[in-house]
Amino acid sequence: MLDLVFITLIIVVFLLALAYVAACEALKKGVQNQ
Amino acid sequence: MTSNGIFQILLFLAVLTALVRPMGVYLLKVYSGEKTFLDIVFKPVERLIYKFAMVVDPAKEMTWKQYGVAMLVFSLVSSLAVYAVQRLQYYLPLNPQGFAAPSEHSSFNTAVSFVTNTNWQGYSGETTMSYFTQMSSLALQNFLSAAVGMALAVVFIRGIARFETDKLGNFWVDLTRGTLYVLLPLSFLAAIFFVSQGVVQNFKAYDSAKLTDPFVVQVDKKDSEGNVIKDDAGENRKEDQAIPIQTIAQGPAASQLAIKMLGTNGGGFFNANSAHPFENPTPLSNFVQMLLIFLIPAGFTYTLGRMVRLPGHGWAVYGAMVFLFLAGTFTTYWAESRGNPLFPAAVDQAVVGGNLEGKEVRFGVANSALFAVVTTDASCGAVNSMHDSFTPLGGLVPLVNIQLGEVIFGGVGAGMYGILIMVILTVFIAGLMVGRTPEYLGKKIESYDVQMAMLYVLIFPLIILGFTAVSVLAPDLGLSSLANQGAHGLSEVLYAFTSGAGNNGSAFAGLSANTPWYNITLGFAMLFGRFFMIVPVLAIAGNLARKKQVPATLGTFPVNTVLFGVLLVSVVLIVGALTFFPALSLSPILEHFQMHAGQTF
Repeated sequence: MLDLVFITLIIVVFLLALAYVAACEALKKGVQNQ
Repeated sequence: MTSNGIFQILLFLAVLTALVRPMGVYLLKVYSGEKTFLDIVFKPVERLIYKFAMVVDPAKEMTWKQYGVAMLVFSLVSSLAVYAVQRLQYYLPLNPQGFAAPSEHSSFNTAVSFVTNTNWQGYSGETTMSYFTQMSSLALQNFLSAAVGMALAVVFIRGIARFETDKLGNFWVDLTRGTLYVLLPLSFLAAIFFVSQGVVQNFKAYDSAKLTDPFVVQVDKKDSEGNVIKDDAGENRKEDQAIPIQTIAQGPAASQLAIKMLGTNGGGFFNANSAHPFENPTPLSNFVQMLLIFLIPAGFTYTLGRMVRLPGHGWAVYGAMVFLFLAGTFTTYWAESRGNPLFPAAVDQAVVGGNLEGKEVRFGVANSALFAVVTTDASCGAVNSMHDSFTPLGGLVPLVNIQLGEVIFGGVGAGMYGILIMVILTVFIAGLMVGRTPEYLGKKIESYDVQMAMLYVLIFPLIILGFTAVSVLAPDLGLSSLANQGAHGLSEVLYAFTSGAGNNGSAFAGLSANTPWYNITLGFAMLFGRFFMIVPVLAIAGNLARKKQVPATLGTFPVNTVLFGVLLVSVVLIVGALTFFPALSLSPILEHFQMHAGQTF
């Protein structure tokens, strides 16, 4: 059971990092539009 | 300080400097896809790898987002694989000691630790990990996490060197070539050398030796059911236990040691790391280990100069790194040579060269101080002495080295992209000083570049100071496994999160970190400190590569001069000092004054 918790934790952090990539790109477009 | 010690430090620097150019040229050839003398061996293997991994088209370059996503997916799969191998190690081969699986939280911590190139170890290698786990997961990640870091450094340099493109290279090609052409051959040679010095390399079960002079230790007294017996005051009762046998750990240590140093990983095969006689047997093996830590990061400065077609820029960055390295080394050496003022006057510490607590006699004070600075300038984390036993000022330097962002040579690749972030800030500040739009190597530095650079700079202290603050405010979580109280205890917690977020991996040994709290929080610190700092780096690289070339004018700030080097050093120190000075003043700096007032912890 705890194994599932830690595996999920790892996956969630990497999903956050992927979302972070998208956020940085969105910020770039925002800066360009200013 | 002795002339012998100073000579050894300068000799180390001289040998390193002599290797910068050949290493830099070789890295340039590898990452430019040029022919190398190892093509005859590795080119067929490289082709086979691309053929086997059918999704990889080596000719197809990626944008920064594609590169980032590939790197994240690769690291995610690696993390899950290392976690699984640890949890299943009892059922896997090459486990002559029959080690059970580490706990879930320890496995989580170790998995992210090795994938992020941190190699923080909450466990003791020789009593926890099977040979299979050490080789198939930990040593493998020593190669791959280092190759990922190198690939990212190359991407950043490509971003600076290229114009009007969104293509930065292919992650899978950079990963493969870095591993095959750089890390594997150098590690092989280093492993052979270490075996010649006496480092063990075998698959034997552990030996045991009957002690000629058994010693006695105090252990908790237990009843017949194995429960610890308490006395009236609630303390654990103790009893003497004779130790007649010594267990002598064995294993494939030399091969792991080589990449541990070369890849600035730092995770020891044995718990004592490079203080263990089987992991660092001679002064010569010690010298080569330090050299391996700096070899690739130093070489990258030359690669930078060549790739951006301004070799003087690479040397200016190298010069700034050398200045900071020497300042740290001689500060630590000076502090450790003075010894501990609280020793009685009758104890002549000068005879042994200063404070010898926690240091190996065969290395002495000079080589312990040098090793401590090298391992924390880079993101290595291997140790040949216990940083917890350094004098407060001696221990301050390794802590500060990591907090400066490990840009003094730094980790393989990580140090290069870290210092390049500082270079961008330096150019930005120089531009502000003269009221011009900042330019860097023919590119205008604009608001998005600086925003991303500041994101990189600010995430780091947020992780360190945030987790440290929560830990010291939570008595049952953060303070319960501390060996020391007061300023020294704060140093231990601060060092742990600094080391985790900086992906260094060395430890102030007084903190027992193999607890659920520290395993989980340090795991997060390592993950955020690696991947949440890499993403802004890639974003800057992508943005820089798209820019048009701006011709240099009289107002352009030259980045191949001594003035640039001085400004770069200043920016590194000011950013680090402004961020961490309040925390440092409550830990090693306060401890220094308390020590002179007669207080210890």
